[in-house]
Amino acid sequence: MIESPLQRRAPLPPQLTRRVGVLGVVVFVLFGVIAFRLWYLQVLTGTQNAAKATALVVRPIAIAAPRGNILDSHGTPLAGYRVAPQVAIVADDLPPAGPQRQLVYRRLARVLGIGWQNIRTIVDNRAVAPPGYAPTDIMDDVSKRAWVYIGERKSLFPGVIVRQVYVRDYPEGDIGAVVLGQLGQVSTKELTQSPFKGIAAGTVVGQSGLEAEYQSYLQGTPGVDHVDVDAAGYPIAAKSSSRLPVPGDQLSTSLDLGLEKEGYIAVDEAENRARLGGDPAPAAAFVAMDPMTGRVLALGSVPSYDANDFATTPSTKTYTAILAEDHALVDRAIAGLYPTGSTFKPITALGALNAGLITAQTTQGTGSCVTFGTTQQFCNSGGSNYGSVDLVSALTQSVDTYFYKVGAAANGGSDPIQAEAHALGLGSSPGIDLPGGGDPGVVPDAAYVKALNAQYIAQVCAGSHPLPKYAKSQLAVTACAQGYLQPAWTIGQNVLLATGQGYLLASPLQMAIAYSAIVNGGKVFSPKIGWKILSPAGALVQQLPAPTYRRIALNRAYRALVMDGLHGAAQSPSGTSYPTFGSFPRTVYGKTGTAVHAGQKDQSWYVVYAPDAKRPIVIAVTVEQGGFGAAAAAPAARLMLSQWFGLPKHWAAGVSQDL
Amino acid sequence: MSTNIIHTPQQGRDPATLAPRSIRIGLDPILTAAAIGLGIASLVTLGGISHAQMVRQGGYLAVGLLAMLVLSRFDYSRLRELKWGLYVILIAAILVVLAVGKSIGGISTRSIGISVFSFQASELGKVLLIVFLAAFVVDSSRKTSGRQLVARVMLLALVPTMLVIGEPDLGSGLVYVAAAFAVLYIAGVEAKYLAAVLALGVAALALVLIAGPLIGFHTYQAERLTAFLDPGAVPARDISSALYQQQNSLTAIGAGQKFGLGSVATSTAANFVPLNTTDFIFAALAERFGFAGAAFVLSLYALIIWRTLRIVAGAKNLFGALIAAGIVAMLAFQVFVNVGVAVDILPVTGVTLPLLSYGGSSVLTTFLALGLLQSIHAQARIAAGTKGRVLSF
Repeated sequence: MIESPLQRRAPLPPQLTRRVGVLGVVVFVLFGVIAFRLWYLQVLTGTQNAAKATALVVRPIAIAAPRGNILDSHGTPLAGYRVAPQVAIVADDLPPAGPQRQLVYRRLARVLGIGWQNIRTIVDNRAVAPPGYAPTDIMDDVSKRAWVYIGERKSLFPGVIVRQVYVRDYPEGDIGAVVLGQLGQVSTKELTQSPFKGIAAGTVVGQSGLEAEYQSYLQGTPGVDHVDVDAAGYPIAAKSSSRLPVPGDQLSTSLDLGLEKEGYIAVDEAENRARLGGDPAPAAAFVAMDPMTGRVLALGSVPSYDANDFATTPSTKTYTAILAEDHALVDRAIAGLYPTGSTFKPITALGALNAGLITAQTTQGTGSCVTFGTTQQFCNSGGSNYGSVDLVSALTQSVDTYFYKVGAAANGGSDPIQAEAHALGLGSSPGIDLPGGGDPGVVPDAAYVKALNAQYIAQVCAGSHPLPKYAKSQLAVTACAQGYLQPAWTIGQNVLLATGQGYLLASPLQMAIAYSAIVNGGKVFSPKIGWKILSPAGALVQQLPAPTYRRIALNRAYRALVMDGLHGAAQSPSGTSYPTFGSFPRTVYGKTGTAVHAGQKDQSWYVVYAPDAKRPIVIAVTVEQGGFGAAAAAPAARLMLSQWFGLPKHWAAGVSQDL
Repeated sequence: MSTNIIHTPQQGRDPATLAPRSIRIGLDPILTAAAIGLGIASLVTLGGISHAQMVRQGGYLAVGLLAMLVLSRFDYSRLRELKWGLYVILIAAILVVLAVGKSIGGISTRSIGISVFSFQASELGKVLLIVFLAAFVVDSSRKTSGRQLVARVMLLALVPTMLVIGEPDLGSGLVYVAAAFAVLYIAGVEAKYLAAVLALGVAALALVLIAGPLIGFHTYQAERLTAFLDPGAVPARDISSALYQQQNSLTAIGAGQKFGLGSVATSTAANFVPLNTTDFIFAALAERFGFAGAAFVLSLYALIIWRTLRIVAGAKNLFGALIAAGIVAMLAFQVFVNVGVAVDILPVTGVTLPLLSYGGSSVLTTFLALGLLQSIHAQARIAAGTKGRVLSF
């Protein structure tokens, strides 16, 4: 048989079998070593390793930084922080969605005493998918019993952790709550929006007020705990290493805590007194600012709520209770829009003087009523007849008939009253350093009424569309029900505007700005609360921009006339708030206002200026359904002024029936 | 004399039917069953970690099995004439990897899978080198002395080995050395020359570990060796350290105990053990199925090695015996080193566990090796059948 070269057998070495045997022995010895090692690891010492396996990995858990303090102008904290026990959920470690996860929710809910659906809602809305072991806060300040219970039964609560966290603390509770604002965990949606970009999921951020406005300064830098966690994700050992969080910078404000507190006490007193007199007085607001610098000294709104309720996730019960109050979450000082009553008269006066409709010597307004056309009759409050008066007297005694005539004369043409109101900042957002900058309100004119009618017809009368933004106005509320729409702008509406009634809507802040502009000679400020940014240790980091202003032309002579009228109103014996300020040991300029609302008690207004070389101040106070301006708002303003100048405080209510 | 038979077959009889049926099937049943068993073990283990990887591994195994079946039908002896072609492919592939992989700084391109090609080249190179060395030894053994043969084989094996270690893939380089050693040993080279080969391997290692860092080579092998020899020298919490991998692997294996943690084997499943589907898959297996499961899988490897040794002894020619010897060394070395690393008796050396580790090239390479074994087995049966020889071992 001839073999091809390829198939030719190379001689197999004689020792082949022996060498294969040696190779086999070597290999099986090596396998034996491994098998013995496995036996040792798994059978002889397996239990020790099983215990060790529960502490396998170091997991980074973010520690939220304490938010920077918010300080008043003297450095007293309005907002600080404290340490609280917290129950949180690491969504990644929860059992898969379904009955198992629901079981964990139910167990946890029973221990914490809340509804399990709440937990599901929180986790679904707040927790963000990996990466990030960012625990979602379920409840802060848990009871010690619940804290220990969960901590000791971690196997029953996969994905649930208990830990200590920094919690916002508001030492003054409900004082200034709406100004300071609310906190809340950043939502999944917010994470994608610019002010919150780069923030870890689950972080508590400012949602309103100063907390939101100065969020980036106050936030701080979170730290990281490197924690040994077992297979269930539960921290089991002491922290192996951590990077401490860096507290946020402090926000120093121009607010004066003493004045802020007194403001709340004063409007509270005003409400209580009004209620004794039969007025419901459900709400009030106040603003105090330095008319020369534009800095806000105090700002408040009642009903209020305990700011600490939002420092941690509020329980449904707490939240319902807050919502049950009359819009407690609304900052009425910047977003409460009202007719301002007679406090508007200085604006009417300036507008008319500028337009040449009146002069200092013009006297008019005799009689208790004036009639325009054939049907529209407007009367002084209580039917008083002041006779024919000049402008200063008209302001001092708040003579409506004088201003009705002005309003009628100013109707149409260049709308001088509206022009003056716009110039002094009404009808546009004040631009204060709070989210939204403050509501613009309404300075009504012919075009406004026309647009309002159109909107009303299109939206409300046509179907079930919600009431338009101007629903508060008489027109929107009644027109559909009455089956007719107000005809276009009438002279009567301008007459009402001249006395701060009708469709006029302005906030206390806007009135404070307008009066400040009159006082300081024409600077219409965008007021600021924030003053400077300080490091956690108190060093100056950044001086915040000073309040900006828009300068308007203000005739000195006209201004002097108005100031004379305001001074007379407060401190001359015929003045409307003389009973309140006649005995006040300092010079003040103030104007009462009583805004009439259909179907409701009157709204009490007072705006006052107290000059001082170093500490000048303008205060605007309003009490909803609190009665006459002199009865509720003026004495409240006096309490605040007494506080500001360190004078004895007492309630000095006026008896004036004047608007 | 046989020309007549070949050219004029008997009427009505297909020449193919002349051979007994069992020879036509040709597969070693135990070897095949053990390989399939390991494939199933791989799928079950991966299933507890990553469904997606399990599905892909299933595909790799199917393709590999097919490749083994196809290869088993060819006569491996034809590869002898292609030996230089195989060698050129081997070197070229590794060089390409070096050129591409060099640019990716700091980390071994192989183990993190940035360059899939890198992985493939060094894995496939194992089989290519074994076939080449076997052919070279067979063709040279009658012309050259033992000393010359060893010197040439050393030189030829050293080139790809050093290149692969430079990749850096120390594990594959060591497999090359082990395979070359086995080929020479079975070829009957005198013991003193083999001692020289061993010295060469040690020198190569020393070059990488000591001289390597001096000329800017990656130093992770040195770090791993330090970590292995002196655990205190490496910070235990450093997740990237070799010690961390090995310690967590050790703990996971220990936690498996006798019968395993089953579906609650979370340490490996949760990726607490890095590379839990490739280099450290044995840890995942041992945690889930305990000593029982680990011992069962080791038994399957032992079966494969027993059958391969049997194929070495029964091969119809020296070429087949040497290929089988290289493969036995390759498989045994990989199993020993991979499991040895997992159980902390060897320093971390990135070697895959044949058929168990997730990865297409590793699976395919192993099945190609098994296909060669099946071919050697089948050819031996055919040769024995035509000569009336009876195989027994």
